[in-house]
Amino acid sequence: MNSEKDLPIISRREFFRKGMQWSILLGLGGITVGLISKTMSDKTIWQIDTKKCIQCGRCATNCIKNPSAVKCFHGYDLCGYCDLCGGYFKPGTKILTTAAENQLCPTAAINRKFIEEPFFEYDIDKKLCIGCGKCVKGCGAFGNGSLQLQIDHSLCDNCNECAIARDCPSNAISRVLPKKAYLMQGLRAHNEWKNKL
Amino acid sequence: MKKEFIIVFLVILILAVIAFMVNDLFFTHQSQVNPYELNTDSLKKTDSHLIGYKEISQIHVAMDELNGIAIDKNDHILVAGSNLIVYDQNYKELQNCKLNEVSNCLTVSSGNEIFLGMQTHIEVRNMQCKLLRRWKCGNTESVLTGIAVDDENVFVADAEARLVHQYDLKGKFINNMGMEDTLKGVPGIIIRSPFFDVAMGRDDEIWMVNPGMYQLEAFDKKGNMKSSWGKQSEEIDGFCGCCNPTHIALLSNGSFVSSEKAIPRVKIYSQTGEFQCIVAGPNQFDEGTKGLDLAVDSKNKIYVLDPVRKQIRIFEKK
Repeated sequence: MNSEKDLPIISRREFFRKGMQWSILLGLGGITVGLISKTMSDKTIWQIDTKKCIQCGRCATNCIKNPSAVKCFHGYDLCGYCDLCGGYFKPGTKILTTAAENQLCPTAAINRKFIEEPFFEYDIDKKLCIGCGKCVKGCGAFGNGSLQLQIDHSLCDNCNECAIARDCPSNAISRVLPKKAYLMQGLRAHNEWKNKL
Repeated sequence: MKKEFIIVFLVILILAVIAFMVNDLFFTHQSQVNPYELNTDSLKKTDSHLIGYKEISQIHVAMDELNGIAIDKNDHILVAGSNLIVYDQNYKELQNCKLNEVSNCLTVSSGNEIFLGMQTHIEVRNMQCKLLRRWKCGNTESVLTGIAVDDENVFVADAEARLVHQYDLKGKFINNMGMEDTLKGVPGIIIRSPFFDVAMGRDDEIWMVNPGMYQLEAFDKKGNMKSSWGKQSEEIDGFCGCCNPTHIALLSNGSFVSSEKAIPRVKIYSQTGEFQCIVAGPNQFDEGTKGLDLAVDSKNKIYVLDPVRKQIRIFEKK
């Protein structure tokens, strides 16, 4: 058993000097780790996983931006270009016209354009869309699910704590790498998803 | 006495305030109505007086992916998907063989040959699952979604090409039908999702679903359109969604059984297309059920293949 006499003797000056060195080293290490983690988190962005999204409507009300940075995006290659579009018309609409009372969108952000019988094209007006997801739910329920909610990165402030991610009931919003900035589902993986401007 | 009364009053008041705050903090959010919630429940309600059939039995199908159902002249039930399974009239499994490729649809001829529609080819097997012959159908992009057979011809619905290929029983190509022809009044098949069914009528006519037009169209064997029925409507007597019906079958009197997606339901229409009754309403299927293939046996019992529950569900007239 070692006695106190066997331990190396360190002077008070040496003790303070070594203590200071270790403190500086630990401090620098901490700052480095902090900077690296901050840099890494700056490189990720918030996005909605469309497979988890339940279109609860909170994206319209809980985002700090007004109107919300969440918008409806249209995957045109999934769209059926339907006349009776579940994303455009309110359930139970009898006459398929663009009259305001027939439209599901509360802000009339979807433009319906006749292509040829019986095909119609639907474009989202980003300035009017509030990201409520009513059209997304209607499209998914009755159609192919070509309308999908996504966070528009040209509008998102990329907050440290996203207010809608915190309140999302299905945990559909998470941080993703910028190379996978949009998580839309579609037929073509290489397709670049965007709204028509 | 007066002081005690004031203390009791204040305690009650404080408790009431605390109760109000707790309720406001933790419970009121749950009952808040979301102004942007889209409720489609009303469309999924069915009038019970319109239901003319009752579910009498189910057969659980042990298969990874099940897509098609058919019934032969002896009321043997055949199911295809990742496997081909044959059941007898008492729902006892007679054959079960793994297929090399997933089959999308099947039918059975009067000669007890099973015709399977694969992705881009047709396989003909006997009741023991032995492969008799096969032939390429359509092109490399084809999606074969429906198949019907009579004593001379096989009719294959190709959802990619949006037409029906006609072959003889050995696989020799004869004709295509369903192409748009404005001079003959053929509107052309419109398909917005991969559901496109075909069935044989009582008078040798070929019934094909035009799901994008929400109607059924009858053609003769030369490809001439003979008649059509069906309308786009969210009411029970029509078809709604992006494209419906998804599958059809015919009863012995020539009436039609149809199944739909979006609002999953099975209905009966008369020979001329008038709505008759509901076989099964949306509340009898799981959320998101689609691809309900149909078959009818010699006693007019309706067999619905439910791919979500992995069951054959059998319905009989009330």
